[in-house]
Amino acid sequence: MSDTSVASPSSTRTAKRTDEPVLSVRDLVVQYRTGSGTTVDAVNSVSFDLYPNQALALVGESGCGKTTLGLGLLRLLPRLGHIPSGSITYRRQPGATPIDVLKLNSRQLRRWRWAEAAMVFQGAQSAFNPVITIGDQMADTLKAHVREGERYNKKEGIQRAGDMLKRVRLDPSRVLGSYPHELSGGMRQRTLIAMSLLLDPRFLVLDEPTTALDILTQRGIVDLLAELREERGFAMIFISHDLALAAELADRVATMYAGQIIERGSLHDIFYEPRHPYTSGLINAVPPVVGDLPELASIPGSPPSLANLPVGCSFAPRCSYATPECRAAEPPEETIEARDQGQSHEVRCIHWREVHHERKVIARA
Amino acid sequence: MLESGDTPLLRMTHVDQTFKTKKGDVPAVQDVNFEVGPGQVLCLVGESGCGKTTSARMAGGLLKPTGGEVAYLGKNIWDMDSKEFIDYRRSVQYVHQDPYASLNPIRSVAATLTAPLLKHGLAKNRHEAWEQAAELCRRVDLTPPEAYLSKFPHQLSGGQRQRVAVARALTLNPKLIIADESTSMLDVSIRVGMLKMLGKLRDELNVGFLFITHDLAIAKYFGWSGKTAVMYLGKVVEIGPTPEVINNPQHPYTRALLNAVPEPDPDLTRTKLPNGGLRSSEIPNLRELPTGCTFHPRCPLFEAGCDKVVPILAEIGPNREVACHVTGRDTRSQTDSPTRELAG
Amino acid sequence: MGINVADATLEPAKGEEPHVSEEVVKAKGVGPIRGFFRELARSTSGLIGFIIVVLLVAMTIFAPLLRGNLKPTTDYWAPFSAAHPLGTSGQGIDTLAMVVNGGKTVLLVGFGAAALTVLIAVVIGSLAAYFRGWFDALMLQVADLFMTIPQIVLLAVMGSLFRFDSPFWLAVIVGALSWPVLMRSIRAQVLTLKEREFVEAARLLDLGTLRIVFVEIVPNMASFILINFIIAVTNAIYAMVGLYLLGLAPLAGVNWGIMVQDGWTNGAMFNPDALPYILAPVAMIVLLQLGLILLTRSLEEILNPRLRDR
Repeated sequence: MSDTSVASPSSTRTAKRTDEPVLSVRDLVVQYRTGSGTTVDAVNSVSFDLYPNQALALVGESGCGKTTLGLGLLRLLPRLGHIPSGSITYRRQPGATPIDVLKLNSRQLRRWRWAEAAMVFQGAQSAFNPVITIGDQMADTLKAHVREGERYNKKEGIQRAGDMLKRVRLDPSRVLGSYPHELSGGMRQRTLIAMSLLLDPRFLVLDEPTTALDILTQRGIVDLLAELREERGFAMIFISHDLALAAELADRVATMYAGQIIERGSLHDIFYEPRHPYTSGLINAVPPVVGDLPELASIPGSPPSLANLPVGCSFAPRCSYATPECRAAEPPEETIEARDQGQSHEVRCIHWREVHHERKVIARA
Repeated sequence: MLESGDTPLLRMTHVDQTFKTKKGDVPAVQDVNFEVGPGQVLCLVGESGCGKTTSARMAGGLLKPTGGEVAYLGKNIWDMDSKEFIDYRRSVQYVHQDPYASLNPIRSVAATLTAPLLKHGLAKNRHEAWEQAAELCRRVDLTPPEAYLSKFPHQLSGGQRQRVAVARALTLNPKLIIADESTSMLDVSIRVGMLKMLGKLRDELNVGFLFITHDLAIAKYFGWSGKTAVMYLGKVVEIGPTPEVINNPQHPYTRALLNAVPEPDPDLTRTKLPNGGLRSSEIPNLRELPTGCTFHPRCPLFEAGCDKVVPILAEIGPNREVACHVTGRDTRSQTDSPTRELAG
Repeated sequence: MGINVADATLEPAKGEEPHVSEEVVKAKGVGPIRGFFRELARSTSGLIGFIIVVLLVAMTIFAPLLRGNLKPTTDYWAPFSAAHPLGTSGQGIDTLAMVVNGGKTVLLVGFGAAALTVLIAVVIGSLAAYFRGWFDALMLQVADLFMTIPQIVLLAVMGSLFRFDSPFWLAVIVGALSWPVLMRSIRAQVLTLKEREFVEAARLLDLGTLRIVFVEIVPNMASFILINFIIAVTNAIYAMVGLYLLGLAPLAGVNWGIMVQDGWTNGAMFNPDALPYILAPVAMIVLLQLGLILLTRSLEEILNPRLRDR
């Protein structure tokens, strides 16, 4: 929260690498049981650190495991999913006692969610109970998290909910008494953000929070999230298939493919010097609006089935750099030099030295 | 508006659509004019509720306008005799947004593609229809066709389904394809392949496109050589050649949209104005439209009088029209003389 | 309570099931028919129902080979014996032979009437929903009219007026009277199906109205129609047995309905030796209905994914 004066995204928040992370994930595996009794690894040995006030974008095509990872971090997996191995460690602030999230019992877990970590879903409609007013839903969240020995003060609760709604630029007198369906898509998403921040969590998982919203509405949400993060200092994990949104909101980016993080690095490293052919391909598939008209390239083929992953590098069948070595063994994660000081850049590709990212221009503006 | 003197494939003239509801009339589309010629692209962009899909449905003959005229090859489609209408019906095809809803779940790809061929006598027998269906699969890059023809929709990915939907639209050799957000549900990497394939159809088969999208970046990419019309609350507020509309927007709404779109470039995207530079992010209700210019409550260029007089879509340069009191006046006065010279 | 509500908002929304589920379906790789039997075998009651129905149908088909002798003897109301395991009838006919042979008409009328019911309901229901307008309004009126008339009374009145002289006409009458309920639910389904984009696509391709209705739309309701067909079979059998019991159906030939009616009117109930004669056909009818109902219930579970996921 001390860095609010600086506008440039890269220089400020990056310096926090010396801190202790708010969330530390090591070799996390998430499995789903299938109808026929086998299991598939939807998330496969994922490791990363999330530092206070940092925004990490998880990007990738649908089915790459990014939503599953987000759900897994908050232990919100559906019935058929479970975490067989790996660790998730949470620290409220640097120096605080670490909490092993995977060891929390269901009561502790309920307290931990909302108060320490919260999730904002895509399509806010289904995240609300349709027959309870927004005010009551917010009050219920507060009531459920009253500290031991304290009593819930109704007036104070409504005051707090109202303040939070004002903070996301909604009119509390209008919203508190409304039912979810009475709000527009953008208002619902703002309400959900307000609700998720009600108990001042230290990190937020946002799963495609602006999908299905109009451009200007989306823009409003994106601006709001950036402001709130500056102001409240929470960290966030932003799940999106839209790389342009990641460019807008994140300071670090992790690309996921077939359940693995195949490249992670600072915003500038990922967008200006991606070293994994998949990351480079994804960026080249997004058309920019301003300026020249660049050539867009599609990535041939489609993501592999998680139940039937190819041997070796799972991206090899679609990769133009692939050699027999790629198909022989899974590439290890290599740490390479980052552009920004104090940042790290990791990639799972044995050919990263050969990958040169560039966009060809086909028409000048 | 066409370069040569050809009759356009499709021409919408002063088209209105008002939906009657219990709560009152909803003017979904008001006085929309545009045309699309063979091999041309017209992109309709705007936010949800701006009337772009309603306009597309009227262009596709799926909805009868409450005012104005939708003409195919110069003839109002609602005044056509049945033979002419059948010709129009076959020549103008529609590709829907959702590839999960637009294919019949119980029909194989082959059944989907051969049915119209057999029904309209484009293939003499099943064998010939199968051959043509295979050719259509190749057209939309579903190769080898044998791997796809016997599949059912649930066995295909979203991108493959959407390609089947395009192949189906191509069965009757259409002259115009209306693509209603046809790529918006696809993943980025798949979307590009799809757009390239559609571009190839335009170039090789000379198919015209009415391309509906909310994504200006997609409009820019697909419609670069064509035109783009920006719609707001049922009206076209700006229309012109795509590169000019995107790179030199004149209407404050177009500017706001462009300002709101995130760029896949971290440094560039963070130079954009917050909230697209708008005064308000509230979209007015179509039932209670603001007076004067309907954009005035949100407009950063608002001046006295904007809330009184409705701006008309007026020419500000070659092939460029804008409906704005403020920028329209400025550009007109600047470009007045050169335009005349060019026209004269 | 408070905790529950607060927590509910954190649960992942439905429809956001992770992508793996789609892959899982693909990975199974079982043909639809084999998959169907596998599902059926998983539900015990469904399998039992299926076996009962198959056995009864087989018994009826092979009845002349199993026990074909239906000649009257002078041995009236004979008790159990090796020659007549279920005794004989008032005309001295072997009861077991009558039971084995007596399913033919019941099954034919049941399935025939159900086929007619489903045919009428599907044709009228889907066309009414597709066209709406005057045709729809008229058909709804007609359906309401049929539904307000108590069926068995109408059957009784018609039976006494026309004296259906063959099981065929019985099937026609029963079938022609029982379509309105099914027609209404078919209509409701088509009303939603016809808004689906693939129907619009078919219209844009000018595939022809009848093709769109009966080739594009109706097959999407195949499982629903199958289940309702079986329900219609059970209903038709009840209606038919009722008519026999009231003596309003043709009493020629041998079938379970006639046996019950015969036993009822000729005082078999008061003759302990004649008891099998009245109980056996009742048991067969109950068994058949039980089999059909068990089968429907598991078919519903197999074919309706929403029930299956529970």
